[in-house]
Amino acid sequence: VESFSGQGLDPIAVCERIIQGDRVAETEFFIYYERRVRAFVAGRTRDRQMAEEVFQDIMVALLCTLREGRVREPEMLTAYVYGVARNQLMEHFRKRLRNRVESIPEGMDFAAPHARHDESERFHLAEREIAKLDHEDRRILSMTLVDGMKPGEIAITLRMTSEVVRQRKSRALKRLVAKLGFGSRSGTSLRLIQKDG
Amino acid sequence: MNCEYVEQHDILGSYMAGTLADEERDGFEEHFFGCEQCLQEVEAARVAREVLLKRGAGLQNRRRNWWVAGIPAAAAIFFGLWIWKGPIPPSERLPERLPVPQKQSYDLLGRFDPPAYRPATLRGANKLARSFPVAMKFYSSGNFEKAAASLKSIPGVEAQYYLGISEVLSGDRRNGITDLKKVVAAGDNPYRSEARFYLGKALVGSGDFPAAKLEFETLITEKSEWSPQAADVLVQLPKDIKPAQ
Repeated sequence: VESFSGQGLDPIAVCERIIQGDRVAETEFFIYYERRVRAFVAGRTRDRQMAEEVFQDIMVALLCTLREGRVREPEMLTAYVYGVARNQLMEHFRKRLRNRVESIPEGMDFAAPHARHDESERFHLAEREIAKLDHEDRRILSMTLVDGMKPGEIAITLRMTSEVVRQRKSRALKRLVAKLGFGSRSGTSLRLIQKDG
Repeated sequence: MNCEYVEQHDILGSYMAGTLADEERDGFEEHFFGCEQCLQEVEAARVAREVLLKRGAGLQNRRRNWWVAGIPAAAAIFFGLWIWKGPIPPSERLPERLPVPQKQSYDLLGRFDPPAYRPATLRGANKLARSFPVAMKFYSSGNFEKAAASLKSIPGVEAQYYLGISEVLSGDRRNGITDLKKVVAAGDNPYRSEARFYLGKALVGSGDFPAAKLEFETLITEKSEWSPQAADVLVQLPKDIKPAQ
């Protein structure tokens, strides 16, 4: 996994500190990986209740293994976290199948904002920003994110070139990223430090 | 995977729409775990997708093709009405968000984009094997009718899998379901799980929810890479499905 650059979280030190019972290190670990794990879970399931359950399971499993010093290659912590997240998600699907049908909540709940206040606030902010977008930009975003259409297909539909579609999509998304302020809260400014040998 | 690859191959959009192949999906997830910029874009795209779905934008995009085809007729009707009754007052105009019938939701749930095909180089390929890449050229260009017609005469589970997919995508869902079932029934093969997933999707599209449910449940039990996607579709099926006969 690339991008272990910048200042902040040192994966090897964090692993060692957690083994020694340092709760601050656990918090740092949690803050750093919370958004990553949440993004992963949200990408794999649209069931909010389940996503929250899986997220909790993943973080608990990770902290347990870290405390017990079971991470063999601390320098590869991000890859390890991703692997645990994937396994936990699969395990959750299996468990859920064993306990269904009554445990399966209603699906199709794509649009309802999260119960969490910041999520809800972000949703409303995104609503406002998307409403402000140029009509064509909004359609490009929709065709990309909802319909999974490629720039070439969108270009044909909207009678533009693929390059223009790409540029407008990228611009709209960057604008949203800037307005929604992901990475501005909690520990998102933290980065893992690559140890040189 | 790196940021450049993500940008060049439009990975983010496909990831959000759930149409990315497993290998690429895993590669992208592993990438954004370590890349703050891509992580932020994933987060923003997720919220944007929810907002757009709330606006009903995705359904409007999908409706566009027949809507565009109907422009001349719609214009004629509108003009006729305008002559007789004058312009429609704002209070009588159609709302921006049209109510979506439940059935249409399931039609959409039953749809899927063509699974990616990556040609392999074969040594000493015989005549039949050589005709496979030709058929897959039709497939890759989106000509599913021609792809299906060409694939019919080619033996092998790979050809049968793409035949089933091509048939479903060209509107011949019945034969597509039959061929995908054959791939599933062919026992242990590299296409078995994904054939079962698309079989489930095709069954949803045909309204056979009990059979679709069975396929998705089996897929989850098999613990394959397709299990999460199967579970995702399963929770969106109607709740009152009676067991398949």
